[in-house]
Amino acid sequence: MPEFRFDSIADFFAMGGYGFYVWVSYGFFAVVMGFNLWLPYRQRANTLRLLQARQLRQHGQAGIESDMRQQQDAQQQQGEAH
Amino acid sequence: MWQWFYKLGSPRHFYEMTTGFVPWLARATFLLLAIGLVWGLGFAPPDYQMGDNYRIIYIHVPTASGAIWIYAMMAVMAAMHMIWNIKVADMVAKSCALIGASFCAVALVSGAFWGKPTWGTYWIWDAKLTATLILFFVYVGVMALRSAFDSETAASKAASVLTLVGVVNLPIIYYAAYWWNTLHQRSSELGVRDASANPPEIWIPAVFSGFGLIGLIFVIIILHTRNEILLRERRAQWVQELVKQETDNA
Repeated sequence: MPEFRFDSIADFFAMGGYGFYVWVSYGFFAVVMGFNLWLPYRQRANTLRLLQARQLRQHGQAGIESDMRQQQDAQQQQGEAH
Repeated sequence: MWQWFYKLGSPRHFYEMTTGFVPWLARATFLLLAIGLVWGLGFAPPDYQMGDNYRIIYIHVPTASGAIWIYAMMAVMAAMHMIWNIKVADMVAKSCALIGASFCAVALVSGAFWGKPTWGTYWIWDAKLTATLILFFVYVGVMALRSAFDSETAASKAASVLTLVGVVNLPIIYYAAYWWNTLHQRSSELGVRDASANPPEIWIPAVFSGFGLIGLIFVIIILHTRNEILLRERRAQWVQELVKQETDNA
């Protein structure tokens, strides 16, 4: 079983005097990878919102068109009746 | 087996197959990364020459080789797209660029902060370092070229061609330390290839962080590709139904 190589947490952060170099490297790594994971989640939300808006627009359009057709039919029927 | 690969070429099958797979891959990835990095940072023995500074190896080596392998994958996908016109291949190639550039950047920065205390400088125009910097610019160039076109077909074609041209850089990075005697050491001297050079307490955590980062590469590429599929296949019936379902659930 591997043992913890540092005497204290402060000792762990000091990294035997190399703390600055080690933690800047790991910190940069964490920030860049975090960004890479966050980005697709945000893009997915944006894409779904975009496609939803597009769908609403199309259905709205189709809805309007069918309303217009119904109105025209109704007018025609009225015309025939008179 | 072949049918399975063949199916992956269909955007719908790629999307449906990865839906259940990605959460598990992500869990395995985080587990491997956590074990590898905690072990490497706190439990691996210090190096007899570099002390605790060498612990940068657990991110430097996997990100540097990852940057090369991601590029190789991007090139294979670009070739598949150009030869067989497989749509998913182009989407995967597009998804490779940002994560590849990120791996390259982490390799360069972690290398710089390893170089300062060991070589005495953050940067030197060593063959391996310079070729890796060029790889970073090629990644950025592929992304910029793709976004410069309004037409998706033209963007894919141009990005694929540039990607394939950039392949010439890969063997240069890989063999730079063997072809030229500059500063960067050969990987065998670190015991990455030859396990007997270093004790297992040092290289076992590297295996964990290495596989963890391979998992991370695939998680991120798959997530990006899935978004790309939704966007490009937006006219397909199954995407429209899926969008409807997703927004009803939200």
